[in-house]
Amino acid sequence: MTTTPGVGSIVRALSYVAVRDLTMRVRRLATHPVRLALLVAVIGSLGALQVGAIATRGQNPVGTPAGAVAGIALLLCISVFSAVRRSPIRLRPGDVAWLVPSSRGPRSLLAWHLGAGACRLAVFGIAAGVVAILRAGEVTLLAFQPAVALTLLALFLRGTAFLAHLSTTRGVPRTVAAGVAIAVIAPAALPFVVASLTGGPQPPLAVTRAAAVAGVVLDPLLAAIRAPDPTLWGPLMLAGGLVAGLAVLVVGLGHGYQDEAARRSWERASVAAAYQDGSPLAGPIQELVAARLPANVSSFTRLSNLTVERALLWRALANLRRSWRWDLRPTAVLIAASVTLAVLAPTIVVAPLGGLLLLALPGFRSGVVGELEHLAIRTIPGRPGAKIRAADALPVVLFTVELIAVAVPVVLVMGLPASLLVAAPGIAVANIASASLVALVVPTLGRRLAYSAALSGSAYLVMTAAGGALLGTPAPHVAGLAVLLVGTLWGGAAWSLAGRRLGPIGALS
Amino acid sequence: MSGEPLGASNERGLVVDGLERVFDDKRALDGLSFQVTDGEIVALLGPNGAGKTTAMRCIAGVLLPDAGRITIAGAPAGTVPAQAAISFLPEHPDLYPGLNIDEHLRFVALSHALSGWRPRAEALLERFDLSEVRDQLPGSLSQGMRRKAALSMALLHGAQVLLLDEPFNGLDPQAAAELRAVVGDLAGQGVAVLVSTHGLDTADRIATRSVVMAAGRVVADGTTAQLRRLAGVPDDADLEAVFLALTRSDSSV
Repeated sequence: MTTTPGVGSIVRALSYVAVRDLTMRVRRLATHPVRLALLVAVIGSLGALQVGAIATRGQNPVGTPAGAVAGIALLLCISVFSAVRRSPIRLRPGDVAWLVPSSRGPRSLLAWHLGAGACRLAVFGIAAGVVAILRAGEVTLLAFQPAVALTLLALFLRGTAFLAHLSTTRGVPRTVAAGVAIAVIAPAALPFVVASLTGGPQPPLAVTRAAAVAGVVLDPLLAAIRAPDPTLWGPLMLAGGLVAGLAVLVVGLGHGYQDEAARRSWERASVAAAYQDGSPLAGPIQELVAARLPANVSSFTRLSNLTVERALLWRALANLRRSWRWDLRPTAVLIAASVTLAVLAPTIVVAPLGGLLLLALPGFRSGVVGELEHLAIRTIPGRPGAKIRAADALPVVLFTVELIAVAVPVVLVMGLPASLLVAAPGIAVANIASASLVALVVPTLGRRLAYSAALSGSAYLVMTAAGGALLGTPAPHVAGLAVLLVGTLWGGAAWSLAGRRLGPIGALS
Repeated sequence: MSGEPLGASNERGLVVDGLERVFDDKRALDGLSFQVTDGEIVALLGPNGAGKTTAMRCIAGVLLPDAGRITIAGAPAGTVPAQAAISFLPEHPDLYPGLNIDEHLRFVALSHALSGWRPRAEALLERFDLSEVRDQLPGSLSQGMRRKAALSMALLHGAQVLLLDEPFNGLDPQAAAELRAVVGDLAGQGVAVLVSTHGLDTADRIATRSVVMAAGRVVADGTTAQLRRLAGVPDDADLEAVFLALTRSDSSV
């Protein structure tokens, strides 16, 4: 007779697994002196930093470096992007077999994984606090303030990722979930990012409502990690309340938790079970099952799973080996022109760069355009979006290299900041992704060229506006980053739309 | 979370049900339905314009049908499991001009994450007399050699469903014999094979069953003996006479 496990038994089981896991990790540390030395060094460094903070409490500068907030915002964006595509939890066999299918299991699993990540950082913080107390020779609660802040920070990061993933399992499209999260994070972090890049003054926290929220949560956490101070306990409690609310929301929504890895593992188990009773086919079929439906599937895509991406990239490289002499001739001419003009006619040195950008407008460089002449891009197994990005990867790299090669003399002669060159990948992505999208939507060649030029031209205009707005400011070197950001977003959107069109022909009609 | 098995269908091999496809004002497929079970070789016959190539391209996931259902090894056509289970040889060899024959085979191996594919590739190159030209680009090869290269690609990844669209066009007699032998071997290993061909003698020699199409739908489906009876021709009549009788009447049998 099967019974539904209660919360108590779930907690006991998870605790047992956690203790066994911890024991194994500690044993491994004993046999890996380098890892052990690293761990001791990290904890010792944190502790040493806190010694100074304890000694100078009350005198530390108020506030958080803008760079730290910008870094956390970037981490949040990456974790949200990852979470809307795959579960942020790496499941263990026991989770798949027992926890996820049970009625209270998904919530317990989410709560456990939220807590486990936070506890790991808490242990680091507490250990560093103990080191600090020992070295300072004074027992003070302040030594444990970083541990509290680290724990809350881990909960905040994990909770945001879990919330993003849960929204997709409740029917919210992935792009919408990621878009909403980024729309909240980006304006909140932007003032900090700009301040960090320009070295300007700390932005006021109330620049926007979102920035204020970021400030309420992140500012005390990061300040407490960097420089513990008695005045931070209050803001820390407020941040802790908000983070706890996030955790409660995640666990509350947790019954809808789904994981592709769990589904595939169950399939494998059910098929294997069906053939294990002495069937003459049991051996071969179990081999087949093992090959096609692996158990304990990771929730994350590993490099070894990027089959279609590797295949298309390899094909493009193999083709380039024979075609580069012809493909790169126009670029070689433009590079030579750029260098020559830099020496002889510096006033028109920008002409070759303009020529390269104009030549790229019709989208001849798109890898997808070339692949569409063949059936493989439609028939080889793989996700359409992955196929498109893989087909375009090499052209993006090549165009980036060409842009930089032609632009270097321009930058040198015109005295522009070299950091402008970081814009090159953004321009390449926007241009090539636009061409790929057009190729999949517009069937006839003539119209395709015109539409591609129009779309890429629009991308150029938007990127120029974004970069140009910053070029005249006291932070001209940020202009390149702005172009890179806008170009990448534009290209990402174009690739995303193109992925929806790479179905069988006729999906367009 | 459902936890249901992959591919809701238990149907193996290839199932085509009520397929329809219209190009502008021409109805290329008009409720086409047939099935190819594992280990079976089915010849898809029909006059020019009957819709054979359109059907093949829909099954391969290159064309989207307007209506109907296609299941490949239990998975709906166009899904990743279906794409992994099928191999398609188009009527005209689809080779990359910048890759030599060996690189084409490597590309197929990479696309399907094949391990230990090299011995199989070597055997196919040997079998189709391609070993000497493995380093050559398609542009320097005859049409027949290009077709054999495309065949080797289609046969490399060990598909569960094999689609061959006019595979014997341009093949010399030796290569045609090898292809018939390979197809027979694959069917013996449980692969479902669908061969679109104009060669009635070929269909008679390799197919376990023939599906005769006209005007986008099936007009007859069965073994040669069954088709003779359906067409009302003598028992000693050749397949051409059967085919002509069936496609002239153009009525579903």
